[in-house]
Amino acid sequence: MDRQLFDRDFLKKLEYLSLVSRKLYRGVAKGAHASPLRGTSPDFADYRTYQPGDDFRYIDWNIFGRLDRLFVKMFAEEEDLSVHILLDASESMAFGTPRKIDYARRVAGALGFIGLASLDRVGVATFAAGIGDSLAPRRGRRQIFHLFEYLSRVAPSGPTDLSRSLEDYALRSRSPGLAVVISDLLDESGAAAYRRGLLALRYRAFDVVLVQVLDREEIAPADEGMSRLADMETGRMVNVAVDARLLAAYRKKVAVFLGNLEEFCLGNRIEYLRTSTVVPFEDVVLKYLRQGAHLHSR
Amino acid sequence: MSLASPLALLALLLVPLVIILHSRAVRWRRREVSSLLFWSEVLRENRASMRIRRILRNLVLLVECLAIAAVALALAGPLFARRGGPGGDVILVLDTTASMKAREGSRTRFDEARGRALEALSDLGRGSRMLVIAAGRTPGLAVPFTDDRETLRRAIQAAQATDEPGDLRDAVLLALSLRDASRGDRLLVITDGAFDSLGDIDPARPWMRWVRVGAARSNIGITSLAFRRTGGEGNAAAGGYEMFLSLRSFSARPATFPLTVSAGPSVVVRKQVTLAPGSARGISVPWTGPTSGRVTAEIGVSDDLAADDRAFAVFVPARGVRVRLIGEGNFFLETALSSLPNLTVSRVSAAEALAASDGPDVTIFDGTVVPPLGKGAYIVIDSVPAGLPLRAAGTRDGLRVTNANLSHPLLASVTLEGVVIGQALRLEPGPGFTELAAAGGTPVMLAWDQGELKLLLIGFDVRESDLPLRPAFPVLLANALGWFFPSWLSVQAEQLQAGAPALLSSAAGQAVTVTLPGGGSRSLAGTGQPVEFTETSTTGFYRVQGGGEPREIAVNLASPGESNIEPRFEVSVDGEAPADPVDQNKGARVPLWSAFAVAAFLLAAVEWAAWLRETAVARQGARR
Repeated sequence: MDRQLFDRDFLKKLEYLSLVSRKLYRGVAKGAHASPLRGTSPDFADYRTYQPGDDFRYIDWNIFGRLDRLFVKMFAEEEDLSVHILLDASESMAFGTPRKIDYARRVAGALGFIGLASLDRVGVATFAAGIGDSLAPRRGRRQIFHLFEYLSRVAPSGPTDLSRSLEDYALRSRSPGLAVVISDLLDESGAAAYRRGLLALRYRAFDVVLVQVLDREEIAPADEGMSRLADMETGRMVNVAVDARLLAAYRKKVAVFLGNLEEFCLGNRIEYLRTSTVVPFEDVVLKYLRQGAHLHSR
Repeated sequence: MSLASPLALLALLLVPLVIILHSRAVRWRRREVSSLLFWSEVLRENRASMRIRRILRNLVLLVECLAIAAVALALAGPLFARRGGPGGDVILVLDTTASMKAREGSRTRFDEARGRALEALSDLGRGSRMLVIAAGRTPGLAVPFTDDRETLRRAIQAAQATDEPGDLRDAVLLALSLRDASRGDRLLVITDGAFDSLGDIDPARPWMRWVRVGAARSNIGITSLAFRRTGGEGNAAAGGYEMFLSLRSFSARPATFPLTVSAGPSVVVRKQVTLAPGSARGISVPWTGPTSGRVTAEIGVSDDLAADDRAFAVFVPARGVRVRLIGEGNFFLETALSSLPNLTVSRVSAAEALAASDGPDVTIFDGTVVPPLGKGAYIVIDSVPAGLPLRAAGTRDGLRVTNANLSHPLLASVTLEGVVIGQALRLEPGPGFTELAAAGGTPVMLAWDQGELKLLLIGFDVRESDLPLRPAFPVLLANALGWFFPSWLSVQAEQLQAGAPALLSSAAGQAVTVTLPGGGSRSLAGTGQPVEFTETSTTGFYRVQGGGEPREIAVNLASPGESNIEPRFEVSVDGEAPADPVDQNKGARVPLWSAFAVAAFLLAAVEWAAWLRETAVARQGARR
């Protein structure tokens, strides 16, 4: 196992995080997630603003006394959750310093750890030109070592075919749940590829979290000069006299691409997080994922 | 702008070669990228300007191309023809000597020179003026400084080459004296270079432009024609003359040609002459023809200069001389004069001489006061003429002649050694007098030959010496008359060199008309004094009427230096080898090769710096 992927301090922090799906799914077994069917052992889940028609019994009068505002306590029946981690293992993920694949493996490991710690069913699959090796969904903390061992074996290779990979996975999966897609989304087919792939997951009722990992050099390259650019995935090369004008055009292209992606995710209820390998990994997990709706402190 | 070596521009072919090499050898730095997704779109949208920018961006390539261009231009030797601005005038020296009449194909050298001069006129900068000097035997101002193009054009078109020999040095000196260096005046000399040197004039000054016309040509010419007496002194009509003719070849091939010498319509000499290449030959034959009228010598050659293929002479008959003797009477003098032929002697007193209206040929003052002397021939005995740098500081007694200048024509065949003189004037001559004889350290006999005044001065009374008793006395008088009038006793074959002035007798109020060899005529106003006729630029016979008996003047080229029409004058610039003796096209044009060489050097330095920078950038990129 790659011991360097997660240090002890980091694992300790993850212990306090739980993975919560925005949607409530009916699990195969009891878990730590609220069920849309409120049962007999409801746990407090959250507050929300009082809406006309809400049951007065769930109004928190203590808060009303302090804030003079009405909040309704929400309870949920806990169920287990299937977490599908889809990790991009194409050749392009080997780019960057540190490599994007290392960064992505840590994200996947962290999320898997949190899922297993919350007694969720966690499965991992890698993809490049198609779905590759996968770790079948499993539950229990003891599976953490299997997860880490699996992740440590992941090696980037081959070109990316996002639409085919995600479509295949969506069709193949028998228990849709939370799909965490970790990728750089750099597919030769451009925006059409990720659109088809992500929509396929959405159509199969996956709750999708998209984590895009990019290197700083991909977002804003700075090297000028006579460059022979070699595509890591296809091996295709182009000679470019890179100057400030071209770099500006490149940055503009990237900005448009990311803007469209963000807009697409927002329109399709896909949680989208973009990160760069220069952002400390711990910050990403603890801060960025915390801002989403899937994690809550116990 | 012109180029000395246009072929050097072929070096510019290296520019595309360097571009090709650069495009092939450009050091592309390999960079792996995760995807060409964005780059492909960027390149597709910027494809049009990419290639140009790729080249322009490559500073090394750009600088190398510029350096090659600069080197090519430097090798091509660009010359910048400085146009005259308002402060720079042009002094045009146009060679009009006889060699410029040499044929160059269907044209003469002067035709080409005229064309070059008109080109120079068309190149004359706005506001610049031009002055034209015709360089013949003596330089003449054809057109003074003017910016009137039409006047200059007409003057250049009307200019003609002459049969005159000439020294271009005088014309260049005149041009230099007219040049205003502060205004940046320039000299343009158009010549065939058929002369040896300019003396101490440096022809390679940057503001002097030499334009050479003509090429190597062959010529054979008559360089002199003369007649001399061989005997029968005083009996010219009986013959006793010898003709001397000089011929010279300036050809690279031997030549055989006929020589014909005619006296009027009669052919006197006819013979075949053979000349080796570059040789000279003198032909001396007894003259059997008449000793009056025209003589024409002609060689039957086909060469490139016609002016020296014929030579001319005119026999002038012996003339009588009128002598006026002023004095109290001198038996010895009168006896000696009476023994000389072809003389008319009249003796008058000083008062009678002053009253006389007509002038003799020779006036002899014998012991009388001599007034200031005008033009003419004089013998002064035992007196000092006024108006000349000569004074008599008393007298000396008991002298004996010790020194005599026997080389002077007045003392030819005259023996004065030991002549005893009872009393002589203590003469103190100034500049201009020639001492003929001295006694006791004091000159006793002097000659003056300045302007048109010839004088023999005898500083003692001949009656108080033994000179009249010696044969030297009549010989001295005869020499004096012959010195005064060469044609006194014998016919003369007179001739002038083309361009030399001729002195013509004139009568007051009577015009002197000169008929030129070509048929035209010139009239000169008679003043009673000899008048100068200068339009003798063409060889041939000139007929003079008025001012006395009609006479003829023969004019010849008679110049071996001018007959040599081979261009031989060389201009060396800054001590360099004189590759092109007389620069045809360059002259005062400013060479720019050094500026381009400096530019090439600077560009090479920039290229080096750019290469260093590029290398440093590449290393930084490799480290990243």
